[in-house]
This record gives sequence, structure tokens and C-alpha cells, in this order.
Amino acid sequence: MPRILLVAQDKGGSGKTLLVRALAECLPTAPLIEIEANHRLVELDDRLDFFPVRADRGEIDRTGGQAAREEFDGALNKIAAAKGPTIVDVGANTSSSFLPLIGAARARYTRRGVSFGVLAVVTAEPGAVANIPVLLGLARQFSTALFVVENQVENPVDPKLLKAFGKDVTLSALPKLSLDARANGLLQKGGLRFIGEELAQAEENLSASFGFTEAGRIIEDLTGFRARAMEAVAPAARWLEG
Amino acid sequence: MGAKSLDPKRLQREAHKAQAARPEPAIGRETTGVTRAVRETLPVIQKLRKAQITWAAIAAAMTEQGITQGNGLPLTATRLTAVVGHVERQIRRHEDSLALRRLRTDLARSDTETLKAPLREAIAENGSSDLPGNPTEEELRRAGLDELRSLLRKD
Repeated sequence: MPRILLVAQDKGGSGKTLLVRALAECLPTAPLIEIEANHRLVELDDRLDFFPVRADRGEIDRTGGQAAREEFDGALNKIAAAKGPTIVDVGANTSSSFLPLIGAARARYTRRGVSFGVLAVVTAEPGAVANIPVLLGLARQFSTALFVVENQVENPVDPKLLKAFGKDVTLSALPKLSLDARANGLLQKGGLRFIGEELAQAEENLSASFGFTEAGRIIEDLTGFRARAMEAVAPAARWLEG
Repeated sequence: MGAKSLDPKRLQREAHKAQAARPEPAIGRETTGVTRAVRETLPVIQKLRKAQITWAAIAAAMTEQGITQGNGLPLTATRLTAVVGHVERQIRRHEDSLALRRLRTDLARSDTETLKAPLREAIAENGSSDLPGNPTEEELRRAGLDELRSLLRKD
């Protein structure tokens, strides 16, 4: 029975894409679906389908809403055809349009054996906090598992606010981590995938470029960062695996 | 010994002759069969991507036609995206260079200062005809990934 995990947060800059990358590391054979204005997960191209969010207001007006209705057809079809655990990155400002479509087709997905979980990302930013009850409200209409990852990149979120998200929500946290500046630059360029697949073998090259000591720091910081990110999404990854 | 004189008519004639004998200028260096194949079929590849065909499927289709990596292994999506990004950047650099040349009033315009038709189409269809100073988010991300790979894998 294919399990689909939708990763959502309508507020941009919450670290959602990082957590999608972490899930991709936890399940290295799981396909991904990216629904975004721009293709971001370029390092995962060999296992990813990108569906651009492209209907603009003018087009929607011209087509009497038809453009908006059809905008997500590609992604919804892909989900319906899933054969196993699948990770879906739902872009910022997209969840409120996309999740109700899943809810509306819930019965049809169920008949195909597809079940859904939702992982929402929250930071201390008020817009991100306020979006969580909205997302969870939509998700409860069709999800069998709900997860919230608290990204402490700025500050921890008020525990009372976290508790208010509901007892049916599995909470986890991504602690604030300080990275070597050069390590952070590499992370921005390559995401998490290269850390697991290539970093250890590249030690000599990194030492030649940045010196023995800094190369060691880069490898240590990036390896630790990847591990923490994977820990933060571990509950959702375990559900996804079944 | 007196200074040699230059016959301007002969210079013009022989320069044209030498130019005609030169191979058509290529954009960038041809390194592998993959690069050449991507350059020749870039518009098709971009159309396939717009039709939401995955990089993996395109790479598999190219492998079917004998386009493999240098070591004979099948072309992978990761390798293909790297080469496509590389070729697109070459095209943009070439366009930039041509644009600068067009601004120079001391240079005569020449037919050789135009891109090959498939490359022109590729740029037009991809909406990437913007100035090099306005790359898309995806292009920037691919460029960053290429930089990272060259850092990790350099000899």
C-alpha cells in the first residue's frame, strides 16, 4: 500500500526543502515529487518529478478557474500511480490549494490503496506558526499520520504553541546548528545528498583546496548536520517506510 | 633592409580564403560524445523536460541510442543534468560575448557572429534569452551543484 508523505509550510524560508532532502536521505530509493514555482531539488533529478506551479491570476480569470483546477493534475496523477513510499515537496503558498484537492479525491486514492501523511515545518516566525493549524486542519481530512518538525534555526518555538497543535501530531525538532562558513556554502550548493555519497571520498581534494584542518571541520560539520536533519524527520520516515 | 609593404587587396583576398577554409566555430570545447549530443539536441531535451519527462528517462533514451559516459557506462540523470547545465552556460557566455561585440562600432558585423539555429531555438524556447546577469533560480542551483562536483572530484 503506497504511503505518500506531503511536506508542507506555506511560509517560505522555513527549512521545508531541507527536511525534504533529509527524508530523501532516510529513504534513498523513494521517489520524490516537487510542486514548486521553481525547481530546487536539482541534485535529486534522477529520482524526482518536478511539477511547476504556473497558473497565474490572469490565466485563471481567462479560463474561469479551469487553469487553477488543472494546475495540479500532473502531480495528482503521479501520486495516484505511486508504487511505494513517495515524498512530496509542496511549495510555499501552495498547500492551501493543493491539500483540499487530495481531500476531495480521498476516497478514490483509498480505493487505489494510497494513504497519506503530512509533515509540516514550523519556525518561530509568526507566519509559519500561524500556518500550522491551517495545514493540520486540511490534512486531518485525509491523513493517517501527522508530523510537525520544529526548526529551531532562529529560536525555539513556544512550547505552548507546539502543544496546541494537537495530540494527534508527532512532534520532533531540528536544533539550531552552527556550521563552518565554507561548509554552509557547500550545503547550499549540493543539499544533503553529496554528504552521504561523496564527501568522505573527497577529503583529499578538500584538503588540497582548503587545508587539512578546515577540510576536517567541513566534513565533520556537514556529516553532523545531515545526521541531525535525518533525526528530525525520522518519525515521518519510519511511518513512510511502513 | 627596407620595410616590407603589405598589399591590402591581397590581404583581404587571402584573409577571406583562410576564413572560408576554417571549420565552423564551435561554442565551447567538445569534450565527450555526451556534450556534443546534448549540444546538438538541446531544444529536444528542453521540450521533453517541459513535457515533464524525467531526466532519468531522457538519459535512458540517449543511452539507447549509444550515447554513454566516457567509460561506456549508461548515461545517468545526474551526468546528463550536469552536461545540459554546462552547455546552457556555454551558450549564454557565447551570446554575451556576441552582444558585447555588437556594441563595438569598430567591428564589422559578420554572419559568423550568429548562433547555430538549434541553439538559438533552445535559448528562445527555454526563455533563457535574458542577459547573463538574470539567470533563473534553477540555473543558479545547477551552476552551484556543478561547482561543488568539480571541487569534490577534481584530479
